[in-house]
Amino acid sequence: MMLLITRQLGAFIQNTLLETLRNKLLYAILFFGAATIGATSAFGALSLHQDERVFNNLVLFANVIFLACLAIYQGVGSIQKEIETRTIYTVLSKPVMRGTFLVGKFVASLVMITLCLLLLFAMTIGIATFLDYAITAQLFAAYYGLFLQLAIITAAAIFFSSFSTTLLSALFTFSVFLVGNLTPQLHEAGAAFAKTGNPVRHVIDVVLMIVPDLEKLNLSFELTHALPVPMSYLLTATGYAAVYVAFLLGGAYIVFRKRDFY
Amino acid sequence: MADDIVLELDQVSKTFRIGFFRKKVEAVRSVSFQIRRGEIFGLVGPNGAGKSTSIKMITGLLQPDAGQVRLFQEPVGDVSLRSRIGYLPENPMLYEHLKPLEIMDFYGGLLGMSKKARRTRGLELLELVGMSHALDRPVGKMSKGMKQRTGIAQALLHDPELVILDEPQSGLDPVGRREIRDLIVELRRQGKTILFCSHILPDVEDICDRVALIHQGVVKEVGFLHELLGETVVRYELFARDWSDALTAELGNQLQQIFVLGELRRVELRGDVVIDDVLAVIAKHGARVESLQPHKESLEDMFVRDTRAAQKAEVPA
Repeated sequence: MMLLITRQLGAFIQNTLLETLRNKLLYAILFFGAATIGATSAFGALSLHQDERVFNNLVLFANVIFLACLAIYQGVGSIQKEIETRTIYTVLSKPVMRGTFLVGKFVASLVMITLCLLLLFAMTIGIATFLDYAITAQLFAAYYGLFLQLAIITAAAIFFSSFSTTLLSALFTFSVFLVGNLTPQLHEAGAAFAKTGNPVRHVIDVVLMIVPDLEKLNLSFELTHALPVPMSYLLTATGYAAVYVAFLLGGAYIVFRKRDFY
Repeated sequence: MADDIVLELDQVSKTFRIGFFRKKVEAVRSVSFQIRRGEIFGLVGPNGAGKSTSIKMITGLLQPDAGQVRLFQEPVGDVSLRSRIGYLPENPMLYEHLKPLEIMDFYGGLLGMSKKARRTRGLELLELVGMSHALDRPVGKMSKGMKQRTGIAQALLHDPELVILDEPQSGLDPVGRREIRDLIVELRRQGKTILFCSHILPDVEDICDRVALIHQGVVKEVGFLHELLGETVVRYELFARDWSDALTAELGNQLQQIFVLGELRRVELRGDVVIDDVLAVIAKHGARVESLQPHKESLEDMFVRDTRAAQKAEVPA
């Protein structure tokens, strides 16, 4: 059984990677990502003695935006495309459990996104080395945090795709990404509403309870100010992301296992 | 014997909800039939009759609202049973970016086959379906017929016991259709059980042992072809020379149609005439019969008769 599932996961990963390699859109995204990193280094040079700090911050921000868009595109597309093009008929009529299908699609998407992340990270390191900037532990920690964010975004995209349309799934996932990165502001807003007795604070409380706190995985502040990131923090963050991914994929499975494919 | 039952649909129903107001549409209503080991079973019916819905319930893509589908005497919900079936969907959509061998590799992976087995079996099947000349062509650049052939190859990859083919000849030229028909017969010779769903009724009639005719979600007829079609002659066709108007007049309503082909006449007579009496009348008028062919009811006749009867029954008096 384990051998079967391993081979099925391998098939999903290989198929996704082949599709990625033959997809021109992905190259376009990567090209613009690389161009943005290059352009950002010029912004650093314009700042007054803050060029390294500006470079690190802006490049990380650009990578977050590009890779989050890629994770939404890939996560949503990995399920919706199978349904819309009806390739799912030939997949689910094989001895593939629906849970394996969802996990396979998630793992395959995450492998693809991770490769893109590594590529952009390598470009960042290359330019930083060329400009004689320091390659710090915080830089690695910040990109690891980004990886965890992308894992949650991909799982969210798969969760929404299990019951919604392509457009709505992309919108819902983008909302999770946006709200998840605005949790400090939402906390402040909730506290302000609480002071005035405004019932909106209950809505904010619920949102904060449901939506993953992506801001906790955003280590750009630590990177900018060269603050140490303890290993225990990274381990906790990994556990947090793993639990969220498990919940999202579990939710997707509950919806998906009884779904009919007309 | 119960062991011989490979597939059984027992009072299976499926209702869809469509449109803004979620209107109910009964796609399949209490459908029942059984398929025995080693037979070619034809599932025929007009578009929208419920054939593909029935097949999707067999392959686990749809879940019945009522009734039970059993594969190899087990409820169809058991995913492991799908390793014993091969399925070609109608108008198969394969991954456009993959080449034929990569398609075989992907589906082989889903079936748990080893890398070596996927390649060996993949090459063998692509050769069998006539795709070995296009191994470097991605699916996105294939003709409809080539996609169909590749789809058939993926359905046979794991040497399944039950092969479900939904319109396998769709998009193929006459030679391709013939090849697929021969392939199905060969699969049966190898001991496979085949569920064959097609609009090409002469082929269904030619190769199927038993047939179910489904219309508007209901099985209208099911059984061996010779039982369903019977031995009754539905019309006679004859070619004759020296045909006269007087002869036409004397035969009266025994004649269905008459066509002039130069000096020859192609004459269609009703199936219930006493043919010896008709031949005597023809001889009396001095006409010469060149050939005489009795026509029994074909599957197409049965199909048209049953679907028209069902449509008439729907029209309020």
